[in-house]
Amino acid sequence: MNAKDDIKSRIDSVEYLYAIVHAMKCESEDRLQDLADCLENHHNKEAEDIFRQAINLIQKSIDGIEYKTSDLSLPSIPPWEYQSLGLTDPDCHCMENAHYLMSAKEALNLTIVNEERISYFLEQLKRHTDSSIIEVAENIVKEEKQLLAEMATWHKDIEESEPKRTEDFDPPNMPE
Amino acid sequence: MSTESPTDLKPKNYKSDIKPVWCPGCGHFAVLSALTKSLAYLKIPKHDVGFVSGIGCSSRIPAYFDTYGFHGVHGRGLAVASGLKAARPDLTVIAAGGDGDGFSIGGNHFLHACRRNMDILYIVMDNQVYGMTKGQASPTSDPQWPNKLTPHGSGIRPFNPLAIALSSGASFIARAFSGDPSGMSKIFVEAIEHEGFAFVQVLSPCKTFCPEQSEWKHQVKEVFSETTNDSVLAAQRIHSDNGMGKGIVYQSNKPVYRCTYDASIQRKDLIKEFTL
Repeated sequence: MNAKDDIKSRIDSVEYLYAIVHAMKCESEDRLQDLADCLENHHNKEAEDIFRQAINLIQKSIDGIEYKTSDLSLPSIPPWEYQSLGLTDPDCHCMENAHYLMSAKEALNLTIVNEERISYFLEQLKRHTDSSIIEVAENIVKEEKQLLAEMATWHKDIEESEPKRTEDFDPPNMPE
Repeated sequence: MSTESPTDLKPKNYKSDIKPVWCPGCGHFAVLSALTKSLAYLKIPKHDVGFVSGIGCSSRIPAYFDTYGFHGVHGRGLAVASGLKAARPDLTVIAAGGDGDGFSIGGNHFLHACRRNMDILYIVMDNQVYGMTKGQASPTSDPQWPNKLTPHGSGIRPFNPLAIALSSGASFIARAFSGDPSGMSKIFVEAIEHEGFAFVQVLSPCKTFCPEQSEWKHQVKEVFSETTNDSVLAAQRIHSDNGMGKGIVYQSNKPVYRCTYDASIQRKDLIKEFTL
């Protein structure tokens, strides 16, 4: 059984699917919150603002899921269950590519890559045997594409003439 | 500290309002995240957690938790944690620190904490560097790693924390990786549930002073997939590992040291006990 078949057999109910997506979105939001706070501490307002905008958008998405599932009883998923579904944690992408001098463009690209994980995961459910799961997955994918499209428009607001990452005049490993 | 019911607690509820000052990209963010998930999963009330640390970047972590915490002096986190656990055995006591704090100046406390086997979780965020003081070799640094203080490397064989923990008597020994926070969270859950001294070495890259550690994500592998309670087998596994294997190496049931001192004893009666 390959990984895709495994995901389809493991996601056996709409409730479980919503629980996984909800957990992934909460993870994303937490990670972006860490990044935004971190860059605020390091006085990089341009990148911080991008992360905070993304947090607002993702929070609305989380609120939407919570509203739709208010009548459902979602299972509680242990944090390590992602791995068994072949999902990598958002930390792996978000945190290692962050830098205290990162530009707004870099922050935006990092956010978009992080959000694309969710769509990629849901795309694998297109051939599920349960039509209700396919329908829910397709609806969430549609919403994700709208969210990603909105994020992509932020590129226009970032100045064309934004300089490359500022040279660090006090690098940590200055050669003697 | 707010007073939500433990069943309502989500991971973010365990975080304090203080924003971490760690560098963006630091592995310690993943440790913070994983531990909050573990505590939420176990539904441990915040007022039942005592978080103790030493000094260093890793040791800032208690401030970022909305639990009881104590930021102690360099290398002495375990000493304080042991005292806390002796005085308050009802608390879930977690000690944390870095490789310099825990294996150099705190090395002796580490040996005896393992030996005593008190019910404490000890997390060492190992980035193989003294990061807060801007990049000196630590006990776990590669002997050839060049840095400002030792430009040709320290030339000293690195400390093997898992081997030392095993030979000193720790009853739960594991290695985690900050690039795998979900796996780390699971290890923390098992470590907290374990009765006895649980030692978890977390490979947590320092993005600022050791940028080459970004390669760890390609090197770390799930090696210790089956835990053993056989110390000889555990020793073989540890010594045949290249330092990049993750998982729970060893877990056994050993007598847990608990303070049996009766605090209600009168001072005059206590003095009599020491009279020659």
